[in-house]
Amino acid sequence: MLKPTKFLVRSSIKSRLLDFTHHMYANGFNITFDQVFQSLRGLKHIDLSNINDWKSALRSICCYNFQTYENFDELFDSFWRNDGRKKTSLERKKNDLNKNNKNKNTKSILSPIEGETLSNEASNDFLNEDNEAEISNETKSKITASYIENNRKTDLKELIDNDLQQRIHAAVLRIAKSIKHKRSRRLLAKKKGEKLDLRKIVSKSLAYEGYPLKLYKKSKPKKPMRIVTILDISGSMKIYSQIFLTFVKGLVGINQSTEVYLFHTRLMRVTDYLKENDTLKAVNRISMLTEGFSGGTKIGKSLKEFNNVYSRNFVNGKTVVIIISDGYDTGSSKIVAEELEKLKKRNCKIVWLNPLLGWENYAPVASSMKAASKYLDLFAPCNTLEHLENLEKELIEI
Amino acid sequence: MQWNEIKTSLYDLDYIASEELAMSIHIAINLERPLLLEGEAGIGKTALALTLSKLYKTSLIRLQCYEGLDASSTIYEWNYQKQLLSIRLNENKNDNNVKIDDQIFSREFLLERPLLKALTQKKSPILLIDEIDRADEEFEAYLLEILSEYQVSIPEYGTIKALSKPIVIITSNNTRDLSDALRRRCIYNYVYYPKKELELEILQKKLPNIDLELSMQIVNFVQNLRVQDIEKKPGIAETLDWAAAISGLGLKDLSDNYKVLHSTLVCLLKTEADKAIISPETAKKLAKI
Repeated sequence: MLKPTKFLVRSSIKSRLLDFTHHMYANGFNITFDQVFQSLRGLKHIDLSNINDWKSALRSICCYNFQTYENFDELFDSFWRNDGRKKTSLERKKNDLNKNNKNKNTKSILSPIEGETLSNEASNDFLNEDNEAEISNETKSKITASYIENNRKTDLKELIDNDLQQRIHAAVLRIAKSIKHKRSRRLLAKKKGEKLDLRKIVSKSLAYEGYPLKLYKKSKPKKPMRIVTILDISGSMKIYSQIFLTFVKGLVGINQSTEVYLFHTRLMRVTDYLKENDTLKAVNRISMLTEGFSGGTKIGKSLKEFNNVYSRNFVNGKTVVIIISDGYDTGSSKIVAEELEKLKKRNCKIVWLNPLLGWENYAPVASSMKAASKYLDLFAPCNTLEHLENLEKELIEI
Repeated sequence: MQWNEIKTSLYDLDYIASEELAMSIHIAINLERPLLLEGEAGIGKTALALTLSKLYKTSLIRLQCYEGLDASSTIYEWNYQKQLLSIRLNENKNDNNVKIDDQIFSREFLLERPLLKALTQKKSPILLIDEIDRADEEFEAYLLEILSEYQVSIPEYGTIKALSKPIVIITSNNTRDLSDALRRRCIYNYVYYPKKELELEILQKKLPNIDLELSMQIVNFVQNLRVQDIEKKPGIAETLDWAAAISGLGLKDLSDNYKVLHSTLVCLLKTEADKAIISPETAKKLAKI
């Protein structure tokens, strides 16, 4: 989170409120002019001397979804409450620290375990020399980390050149088209339908003494499908992950309702990050985000998280869930099957794209893959671009 | 009315609102903005609208959203049958002085659907747009004009402006993302599952004949159950049902009879998988925590 600007001169409440909206904007809230205006109007209706009133009123006006609603507390405290410090807790922490100091004179205050129990704001205040040394060490390691990251970024640029990007985009276009609509057998009234709606013609002809003056038509409705992609970015998938990210980014560009999740040992929703216009930028941003995590793959756990948190909101009968993973799992394969079964109960189509399947003599031996195959509508290889391009036909059939 | 007055008057009407919610209502009413409530099912979003209509002694106009909802069933529709009849009747009269167009496109031939009805009331009604996430995205676009300008434009007739601005409550179970345009026009509140104290208060208020000890046990059990790894977490409505069931069966203490306790869990657990997870042993454990 960005730190709020400190003001030396006491300014009017209105200008402070404006500063606060800028602070929110800087921290990722999309505040509109209207919301600023409404906040100013809202001032009239609350007790300004009570900071809690102030907070909940601003929260009602400025928040617009669950995420912002959850984050508002922290933002508010950092701006209006002097970096979130509350007097009582500060006093208590001071006492705690003093006690600790007396008990363990030789040890530094912020030994790793205790450091966790102290909140950040307190640690800023109670720095002693040891801690400063510790922190400078930390920043050093950060610098080296970002240096490596920078290197990776340049690698990535070489990895995805313009030509490849265009080919991927073309494949994506065709795939998105093939799963754009849900097929339906039912006929619905439509102005330019392909069949006559006799029932309606007869009932409407009553008004014209039984002459069917107007012909009503019907046809099969086109129900838009939504795509949810769950992408494995664990170590074993690393070589493919950039290409798949570009692929997924293409899907988001074509259909704005596409949802994207990444996982390795845990799941994260990255849909909003992918709405960036520049493909390369978006892919870079995400790889920066996820660079910190590495280690095993927990497909089951990630799917569980998806089922618990997101699937209820984003998966229904009109959804195609595309899972891209090689199926190598460090967790239990039983969970994978259980979670896929749960997901299947939401009546969606599940497609599993496995880059290993393209290899010769590969049979899905990974235990997770075996457990999963029962619940899949399509299990297809995707280790080369040709495979991705050929997916179209198979996707039409599901 | 200040927000704490709203809270207490809602309390008198058996609705216990959190401070955040009371403030949101206060702000929404004063700024004349719709109030958008999101949250899990069964935590009193719809009940709030019902209670507010009692509080302001005004009518409640409810629009239940579903897929395929369109303007003709939510805003207005011309009464075609009546128009046809009217044309027929005028044919025989041979009276050319009255222009038939003006006549059949008058207010008399207009069927008011909930949204238009809400704008034509003398006293501001409560307009409840329930489960808006079930309606299509196009429907949100219809709503925008009504919610920001409080008016409806009818091509054949003209614009109908609100006689009194309705208090609009929109609820959503978050089954799909609402458009930003709609969100920004609303005062937003996310309704969480109630905390222990609040839920106890609600239970005591709604079912006063259950004694405090048992109520505490019930609330404890439900709160513990929500932490468990189950598909469908019980809301307040379920807690109340279950409490009624338990007191109806004459249990004085949850630990009295675990068999009965487990059989009453049908009120709380709504899927087969959840029932399997909460076995009699687990239920026993949850009751003891």
